[in-house]
Amino acid sequence: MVRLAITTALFASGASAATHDLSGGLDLTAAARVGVLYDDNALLGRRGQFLDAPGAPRGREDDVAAVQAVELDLGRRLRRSSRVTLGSRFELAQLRQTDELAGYDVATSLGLEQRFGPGVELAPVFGLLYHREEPQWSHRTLEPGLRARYTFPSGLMAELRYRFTRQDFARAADGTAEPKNSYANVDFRGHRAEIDLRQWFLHWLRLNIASDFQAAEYAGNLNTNLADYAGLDAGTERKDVGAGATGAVAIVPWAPLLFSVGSRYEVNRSNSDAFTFGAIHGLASALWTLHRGHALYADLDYGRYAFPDEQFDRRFTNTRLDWRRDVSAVYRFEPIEPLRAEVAIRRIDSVSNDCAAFDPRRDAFGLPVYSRSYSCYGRTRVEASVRWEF
Amino acid sequence: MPWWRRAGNAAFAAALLAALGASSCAGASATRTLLRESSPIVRSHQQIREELAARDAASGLILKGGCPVCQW
Repeated sequence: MVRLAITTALFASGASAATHDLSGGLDLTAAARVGVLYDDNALLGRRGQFLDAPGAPRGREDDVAAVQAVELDLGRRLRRSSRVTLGSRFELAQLRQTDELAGYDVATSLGLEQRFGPGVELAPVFGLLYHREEPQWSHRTLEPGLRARYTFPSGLMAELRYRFTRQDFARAADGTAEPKNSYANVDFRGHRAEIDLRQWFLHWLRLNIASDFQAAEYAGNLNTNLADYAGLDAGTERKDVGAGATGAVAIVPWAPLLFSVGSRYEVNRSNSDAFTFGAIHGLASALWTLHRGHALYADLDYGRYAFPDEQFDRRFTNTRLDWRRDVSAVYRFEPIEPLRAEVAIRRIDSVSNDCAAFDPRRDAFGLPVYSRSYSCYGRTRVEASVRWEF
Repeated sequence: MPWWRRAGNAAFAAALLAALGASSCAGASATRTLLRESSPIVRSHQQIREELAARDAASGLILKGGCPVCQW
């Protein structure tokens, strides 16, 4: 259900920075970021999707976290036209009450940027991430990718992006993967390719057309609830193939303002009816740069998801339909070049005809009789942070 | 001819001329496209979008492919 967002005032403390300037085409950037995060539904999506399952959501729980991050980027120019980069990041979020989310991220990436001329660029990158928290959610991610950009003489800019993702979750001591009640924490392999075309028709008007294709496989360590929901036998892998197309127009009516409006259509086909859907989105964003380093950014995504084969309530013929709204706003202030202060707000809402509120009847335990999935929810996140960079 | 139709025709002709002008300029616009893409406004727009996406991915709000509805 849509609910009014209640946010709290936040504060942010100072930051420290380390800088090194090395010779021989080598540059080193170090940055530190500290902030405070308020989340009014911190465990959304973290306890499985079933309201009647053990460990199911207990309801909305808000929390405040102190966020600390350190980033280190190293770049080395090999020749005039190529550069190798090494980036690493450590981020620790300390929540006050929610033990489930206490943990840290360590990420590193090695990349090469090769230019073949103005507007022609090839950039392979290899990324690794280690995420540590509760054993069933700890995982490591391996992500090699490639980005290629070519600008045609007509001014049409084409960009091709590809990445492969392999995500492995922690296993039991004997090496077996325990049954899970959510696809968010089973092993995952996925390919994603994107083609992005951009053309400035006028000095204030840009047309952007993008398409994306993806294929994904999820491991089969499902518990009974998830296997029932997905319509798959435990041990069976879920296989998805999807595609999307986005069209957007960006307008720069005068120098400090950019806004864009667009639409996106996406489809996903799966061997599970619960994950076969088509969605259409309305998109809008705006950036307004104010005087002396102040900037204001807003983003809106409103989507309608239809699941044509998911007849969630056997009494009726209607199938699942979700409406999702995602709004975010950022205010950024850079009083001096290495220092950046930021306040970011994000609100997501989802309503569905398949959620606990759809049918008021409850069983002997007070749980919904027909609706099983956690499809109606809202979440507000507010983050205030300070970042110091050289 | 009523004034609104004349005004409409004039606006249409002006739009057509603008479109023709834009397309005729497009032949030499690769450099111009690169300049537009590197303008501070466009770059900061892109940067903020990417940073928000990265932060949300790190916080677990968006998992694996940015489609929460498929995940839980």
